[in-house]
Amino acid sequence: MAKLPESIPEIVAEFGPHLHTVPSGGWIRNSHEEKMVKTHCCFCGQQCGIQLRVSDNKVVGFEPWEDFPFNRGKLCPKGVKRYMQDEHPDRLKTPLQRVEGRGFEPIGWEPAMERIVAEIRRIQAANGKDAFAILTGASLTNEKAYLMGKFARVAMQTANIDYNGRLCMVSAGAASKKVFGVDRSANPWSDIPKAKVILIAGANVAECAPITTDYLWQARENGAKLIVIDPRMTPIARNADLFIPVRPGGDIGIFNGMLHVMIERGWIDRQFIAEHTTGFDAVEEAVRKYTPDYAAKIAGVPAEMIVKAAAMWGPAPTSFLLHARGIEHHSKGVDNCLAAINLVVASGRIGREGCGYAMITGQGNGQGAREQGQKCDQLPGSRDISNPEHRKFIADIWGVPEESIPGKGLSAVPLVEAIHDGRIKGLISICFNPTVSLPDANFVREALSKLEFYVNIDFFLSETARYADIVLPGSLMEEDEGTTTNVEGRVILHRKVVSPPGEAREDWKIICDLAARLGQPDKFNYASPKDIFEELRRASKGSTSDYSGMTWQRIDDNNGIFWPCPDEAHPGTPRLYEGGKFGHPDGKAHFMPVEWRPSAEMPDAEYPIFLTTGRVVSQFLSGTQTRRIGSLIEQYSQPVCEIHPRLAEKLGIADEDFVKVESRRGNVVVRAKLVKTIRPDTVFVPYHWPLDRSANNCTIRAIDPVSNIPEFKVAAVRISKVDQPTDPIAMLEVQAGGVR
Amino acid sequence: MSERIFFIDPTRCIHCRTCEASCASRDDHHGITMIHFTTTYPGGTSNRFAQACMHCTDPRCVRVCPVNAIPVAADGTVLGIDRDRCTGCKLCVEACPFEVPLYVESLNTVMKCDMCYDRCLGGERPLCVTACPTGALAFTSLAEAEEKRKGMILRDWTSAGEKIHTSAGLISHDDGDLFGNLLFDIADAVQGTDPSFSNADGAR
Repeated sequence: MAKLPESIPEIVAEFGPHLHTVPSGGWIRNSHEEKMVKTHCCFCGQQCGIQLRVSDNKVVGFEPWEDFPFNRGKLCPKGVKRYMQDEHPDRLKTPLQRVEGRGFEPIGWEPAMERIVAEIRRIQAANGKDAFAILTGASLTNEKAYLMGKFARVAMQTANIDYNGRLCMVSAGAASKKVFGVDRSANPWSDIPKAKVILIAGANVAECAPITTDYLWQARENGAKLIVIDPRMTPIARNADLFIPVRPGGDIGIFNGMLHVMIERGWIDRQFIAEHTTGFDAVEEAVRKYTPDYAAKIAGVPAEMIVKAAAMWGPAPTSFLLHARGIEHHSKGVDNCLAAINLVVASGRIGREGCGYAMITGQGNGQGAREQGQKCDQLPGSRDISNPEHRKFIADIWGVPEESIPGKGLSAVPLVEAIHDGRIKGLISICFNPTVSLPDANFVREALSKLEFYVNIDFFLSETARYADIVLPGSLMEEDEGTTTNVEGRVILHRKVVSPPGEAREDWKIICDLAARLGQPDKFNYASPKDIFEELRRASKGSTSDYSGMTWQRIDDNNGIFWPCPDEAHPGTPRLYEGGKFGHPDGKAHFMPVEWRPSAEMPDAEYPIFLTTGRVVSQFLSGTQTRRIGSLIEQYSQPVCEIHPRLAEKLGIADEDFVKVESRRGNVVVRAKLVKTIRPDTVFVPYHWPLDRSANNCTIRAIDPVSNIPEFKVAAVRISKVDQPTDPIAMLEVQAGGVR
Repeated sequence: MSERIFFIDPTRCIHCRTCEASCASRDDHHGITMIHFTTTYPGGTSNRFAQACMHCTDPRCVRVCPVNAIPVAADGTVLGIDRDRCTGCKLCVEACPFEVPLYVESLNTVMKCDMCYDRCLGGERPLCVTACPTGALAFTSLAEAEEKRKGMILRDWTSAGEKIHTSAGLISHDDGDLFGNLLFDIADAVQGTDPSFSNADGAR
């Protein structure tokens, strides 16, 4: 049984998270011994260009890369301090095995791999192939994402592979595919400053995609109006021309209300709608009842705001809509996105300079990692695993019989539920820290405790890896090479900057080794990630996300290439849908009518307050990397509960008091921070921290029926003042889940 | 004075502290940032914005230094403190109207922003400006700043009765509001909206 082999403080003492504060070799360096490597940030979907300073196979610093056109040297605190994850005292350098009562002890690669193969065979023989599952991540390169999908279907023959993009991009992707037939931001970022009105829905751009802020400010200097929809006044909302403090889950009220007003006042493009779209009649019918008054009741804001938004957006000459997790992390996440996209299509302002639409991808390869076949329902090239033609095409690429490819598997949340109820007994995970990042964290920890055998591949011992039987030391982004696809759909190249330390290996080598031991040496016989990319190109040929015309050389020479790129003479496609040509077989955009419905759990007498969760600028996702970097923890050391002074007063809570935020599923004890920038019916807790400091102890395991994204943005909670906790977890350092 | 000038544009600032992180990473900074956040209290609320050396044309820090430890370059850049000369007396810390020089106890010296003089000589921009994700920091000509940025460029100040002119400029926006909608209270904005769709009793 995979349970924690010793106490959490004991594990933390050995494996961290500890803080790294001084780079390898100290602060003052001898610069002429260095080289500078142009590569990209490992963190968010912006994938900013950055140069890493290298000395003696060690990353010792950074330098902006001003020639890279997307960010032109601009960075954020995470990118600047990224080099502090290298030469880190917590870095895993040998395989580890769980030893009951003693923790994790080194084991050689050979016995580790032998044991893994034996356990996979045992569990699959006794319970069927699907009883062994794989969870992967969207920070993996395209090559690794492709490899993981192929590994699951060919080497493991399990249907159950899914990835943490399930917590990120799936609502946006599904909506975009439904309307446009393509799952990608429609425009390059260079279109943003050319728009005269910009609508940002549920996107804390300044903190989660910092360099995009500059594009917004450029637009503003050019005279653009900015509309921001968010329950919190985030830094960009401060300068918005119209800030709409929507009630969590009320977004459809605003979108449908705006469209209602636009139709009423003739602020839609009837000609565009007639020539380039289908389904508008149903949408017109659906929004008829969304008068400003009705819409305002849903949105929890004054009706005038909705009218004003329509008046700004409706008649504008050019426009750009951006949305992110704020509207996507809902049990109606897809519908939220559809309602937003309807505003774009009804205006006819898409596929032109300064006119468009984008979803802001969260994870490093949030775009590419969802195209290469590691989703439970997808094969490479964004192909459908249930489509016989798609299956045949990929079976031929892989050289396997079509019928040997498993069908659709479970998505991340149902997959963890299947572990909890015993249907899945074995797990390999890479690049995923679900004990911090999935909703209902107590349930997730229970599930992991029930696994018969669990292999975790990572570079640090994450909170999730503590449940593993075997931990394999993989590679940091800078220790391997490969491509990612950024927020714009631009495919870029990460260079290998240093080699993995100690006995750590590049992730792709670990997977290929495992595949060979599982009896498929020939199908995983790659000499390099570039080899994998060459196969990925062929596998994507003719698909929506066509990479077949790209080579690493071309990507490098052109500062990235936008897909689709169907042949080597093709320049790539920065802007989609030019001339009103959309991705569906009929070439049209398909309007989808949307009706508002309540969130899975609405506040009630017992749990009367909305909890919404999100990120802060100095931390990234589950914090496996950023909670190990000294200055990033100093910047925002522990999660706080943002609460409006009026609500705090009613509950007898003062600034910096400890509060217990409690839902039906669990609680988190953090300090209160009184701010007027949040709705008084809502509190916010960022989710980057583990254990008793995890906002996800409270969130709900409700998922969108189409995208299966969890509802991180709405849970019902109650809040009470408590004493500062002094239990063993609270006494840990803040980066490990303690309090200060 | 060189053609390019350091600008601070507080409306663009998102307080992400990339400037501090990058400044602290400079080779001779010992992990210490020379740019820091200053808190102001407009209208009863607080806001912070990045404060770097403003490079006064007649710098008080230089005037008060008893050991001539703060050199000024030919172009007017007020350079970093000569650590061999500095005695740690902190007169410059007291004198600076912008609270820029920083006494570092572990080194018994004062350190200050030199606008990355070495980088700028090579044609680059200061590291904090280059890394700033929002354009809240800029290093460009006065003409370009006036053309590309809305607002007024402030370079004249009064401190302790003394008129001070700085090379660096602070960009103040037309409406005189440096920081955007700081007085906004969401509770006022949603006051009286219909709670029937949420049943959120916690806040009414």
